[in-house]
Amino acid sequence: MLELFLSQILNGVVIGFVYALIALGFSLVFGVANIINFAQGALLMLGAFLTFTMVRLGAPIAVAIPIAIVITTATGMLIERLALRPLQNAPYIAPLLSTLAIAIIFDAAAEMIWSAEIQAFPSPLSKYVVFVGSAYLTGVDFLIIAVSLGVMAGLMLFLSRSWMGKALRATAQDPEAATQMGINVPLMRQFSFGLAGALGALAGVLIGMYYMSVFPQMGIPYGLKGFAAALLGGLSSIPGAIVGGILLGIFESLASGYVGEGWRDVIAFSVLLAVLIVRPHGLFGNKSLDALGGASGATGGIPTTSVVASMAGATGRTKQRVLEAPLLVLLAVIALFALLPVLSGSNYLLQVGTQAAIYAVLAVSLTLLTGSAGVISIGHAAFFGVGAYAAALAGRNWGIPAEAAFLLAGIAAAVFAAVLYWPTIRLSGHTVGLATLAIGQIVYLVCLNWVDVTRGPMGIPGVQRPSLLLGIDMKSLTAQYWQALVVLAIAVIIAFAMLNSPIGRTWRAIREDRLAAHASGVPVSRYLVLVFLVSGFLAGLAGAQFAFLQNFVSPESFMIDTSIVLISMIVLGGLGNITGALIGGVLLAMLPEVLREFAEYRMVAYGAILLLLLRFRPQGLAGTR
Amino acid sequence: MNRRLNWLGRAGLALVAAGMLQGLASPAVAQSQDSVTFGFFAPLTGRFGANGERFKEAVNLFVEQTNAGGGIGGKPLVVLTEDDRGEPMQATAIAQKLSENKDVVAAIGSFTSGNSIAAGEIFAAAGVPQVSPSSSHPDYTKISKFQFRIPNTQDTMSLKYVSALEENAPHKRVAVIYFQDDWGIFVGNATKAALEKDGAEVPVFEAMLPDARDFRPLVTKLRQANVDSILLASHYGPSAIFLQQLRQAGLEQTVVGPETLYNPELITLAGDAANGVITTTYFFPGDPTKVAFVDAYKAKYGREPDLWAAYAYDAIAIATAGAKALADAGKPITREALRDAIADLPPYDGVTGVTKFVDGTPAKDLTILKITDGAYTLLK
Repeated sequence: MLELFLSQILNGVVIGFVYALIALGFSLVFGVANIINFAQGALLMLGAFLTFTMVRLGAPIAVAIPIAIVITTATGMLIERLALRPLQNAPYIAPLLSTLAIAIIFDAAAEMIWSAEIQAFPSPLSKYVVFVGSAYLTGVDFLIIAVSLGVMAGLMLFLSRSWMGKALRATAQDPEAATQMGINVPLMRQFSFGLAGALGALAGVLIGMYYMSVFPQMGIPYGLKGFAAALLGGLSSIPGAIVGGILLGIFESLASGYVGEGWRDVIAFSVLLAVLIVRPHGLFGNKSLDALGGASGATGGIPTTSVVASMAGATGRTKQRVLEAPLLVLLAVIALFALLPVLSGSNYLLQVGTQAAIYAVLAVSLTLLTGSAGVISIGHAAFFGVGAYAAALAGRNWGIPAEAAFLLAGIAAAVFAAVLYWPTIRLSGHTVGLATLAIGQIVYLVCLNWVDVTRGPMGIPGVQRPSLLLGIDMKSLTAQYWQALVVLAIAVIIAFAMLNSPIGRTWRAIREDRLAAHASGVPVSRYLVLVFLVSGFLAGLAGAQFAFLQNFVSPESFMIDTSIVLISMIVLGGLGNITGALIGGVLLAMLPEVLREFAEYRMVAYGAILLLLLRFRPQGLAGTR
Repeated sequence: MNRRLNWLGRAGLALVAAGMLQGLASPAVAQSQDSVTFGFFAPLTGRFGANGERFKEAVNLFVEQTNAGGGIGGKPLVVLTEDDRGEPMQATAIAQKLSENKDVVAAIGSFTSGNSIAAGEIFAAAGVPQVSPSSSHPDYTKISKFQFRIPNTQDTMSLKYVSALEENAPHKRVAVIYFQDDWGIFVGNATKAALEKDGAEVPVFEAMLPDARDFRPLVTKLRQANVDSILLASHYGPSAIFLQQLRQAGLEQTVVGPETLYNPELITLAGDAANGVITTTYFFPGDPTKVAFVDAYKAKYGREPDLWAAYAYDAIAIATAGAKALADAGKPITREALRDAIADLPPYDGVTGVTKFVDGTPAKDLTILKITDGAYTLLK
């Protein structure tokens, strides 16, 4: 028994060092630029594939790896130059999204260049195997452990001893003061991205060797584990990244060994959440500056925790024209759209239109939470999913009328949102984004694994479209389209009423400066729970409409990709702005359909459009409110 | 500067909006009435992109061959290709798009059962016959009489996997490892039940998560459980990594798996670790009766066709055979008529074996293969 336990711990330590290497790249960029770099996973994939290509062309692996690292480093620096520097004065959340857009472009491009297939990766060291109890170690494991420890020691020495390292740390602590001391702050940020690129490439190559294979979509799953490890360790701490990685590996390994392979990720992310509740700053995190809105919050005229404030300190509400239609205009536009079935008999148009309406409801729901109350939510698909499953199960098992199904789905999602997001109340800044991402992943994995209730990946087929209480049949697609528009109108009315009331003003106050809001007597936690409930309720309505439209609910509709699309919608539309959420929601929901003509270039075009819109209109199409 | 950027941004937005309106206003390119049009949809990008690509290659090959051979009753065969990325929401939009294009008389797709079912509800309502190359979920053909599939259902298949294992490996204690998707869960449960019914013990019954690549904890468990053989119901990518980790740990048990393990890539990825694996398949390129398909595919794409290519080739071939039967009888090729023609086809001898539909599902025999010295060889 003990042998099995220790063997599983050893398994966990080995994979943990892999996670630690990925986490180091995140931590470095987060520490210096105070931004979560979602492109880190893409850099990892790029490094691995460059090495793979060079080896295939006949280069020895020892030559291929350094070249791949150099190219990836340059790519990292280029990302900073193209996606981040132009957004210095944009809302805080814009650069985060532009790294996401870059990740989308890279993933899609890699699929086109190297095909979507999994490829064999050269791994000369994996022949050497040593047995330890019921576990074993290979030559690659020793290499990974040696490289991780070496990189960690090197980084710590570099940061504490060299001039460059000190300049990096100064930039991390206070960019404004660092500038006054003659440090070239943009260059330092660029340098940290380059370094993160190098670390990413190294991690990619080692992962390739560990699994003896690489595939273009590898960035997302390994990137997620890297996030989790970094968050566990305390984001900007170098030893924290290593310890976080190893702990994550051990938890996973024990979960797999004692609970079941299928539950390992659920347990890994749940442990992460538990740690965040007890120690919001992670194991090694430093909370000294976070009360002032993180390291860069101290640079602006007024310290702020706001997602709409820029990296350079300007608040998002300066110098912009805001497009905000009155409620009646919004409802009139929705009513205008209701004429579509009369004007065109196209079912395809109605299907896409209904999907766009669903996304618009989701965008309104998210803009309350993220845009207005400032809680970055990258797990919003979870509540969409809870609503869809609640409606599907209710419809399938009880055949209840539409109104009741919607109400049930909304309430279920609201309760889930309040309970699951409760731990994030104590977190601040971008950390919230990572925590919500983990929550979204937990809900998706539970839908996938809890076969008794959700039927797991088999999904729930044959969801019946219910009739209304009055007995009106809602089975036709046209009826569903109108139903979706009614749901949208209800969502808009609720959101409008809340945002224009003292409640909305209080949410915005919390977003702008939580500390100040707290100090002036606002019960911050209560207001945040309220926004979780309202936002969850609306997402649940959207979920129910989705279940009825599709007649089929399965977990792949509620993956992280959906959450990312949602956050893109509200940033593009303009944070906290209902008009903006509607524009962003409809636009991005229809974009993949419109881009069908581009066939395999579709996702690249999607990423590029996202990137360009962020570049030229970072405060959103309709402006931030 | 700022003003110029704003102007640029607005111009870009206007372009996007104009593109959207145009794209939606003309959902389908008008086809001439002088052709027979099929819709084809599969995940051409994303997680299942590799499988979808094989589908597409086989479909394109078939279209080329058919049109070179005079088309269908003198009319050329046209295929409209759509990418569903493996997402149900995109599958339903595609199904509406294809259904409302009056020229489309049949749909071929999709890869996953989930997407086939989501799209199937819409095809059933529109009366479009749908032939899925690979969906083996029992619920799929229950949607309506318009759904057809090329493989057997998972329940009959599972029994065949178990007998392949029982005939070729010791089976007192068997580990069942399955991939966490609709297909894997079903096969995992069904094979476990069948094994236990035959008196075997199943001490290890574990799922592989879609993104999981680290199987050492699982291997450690297998080492402790002391099993005689392993039934591996998973896809070739994760299976290759699993096999490597299994053999690294010095475990030598026979591994038996379904047709998903029949893929030359498995051997490329797993190397020596793949040797000894026993797998079933409908299609084997070494089979001399399939040489025409294999050679044509190789000539066009420079590689051997895999099972997925064979599935898709038969799917479109069967829909075409139905259309040809109508053309030969001098009847117009409508959706309803084509559905009946496909259902009433005489046993169709294709590259995946003989297909004769009973309620949309065929009952086919399987070939059993073993990997020896880095190549699939015929075992039975």
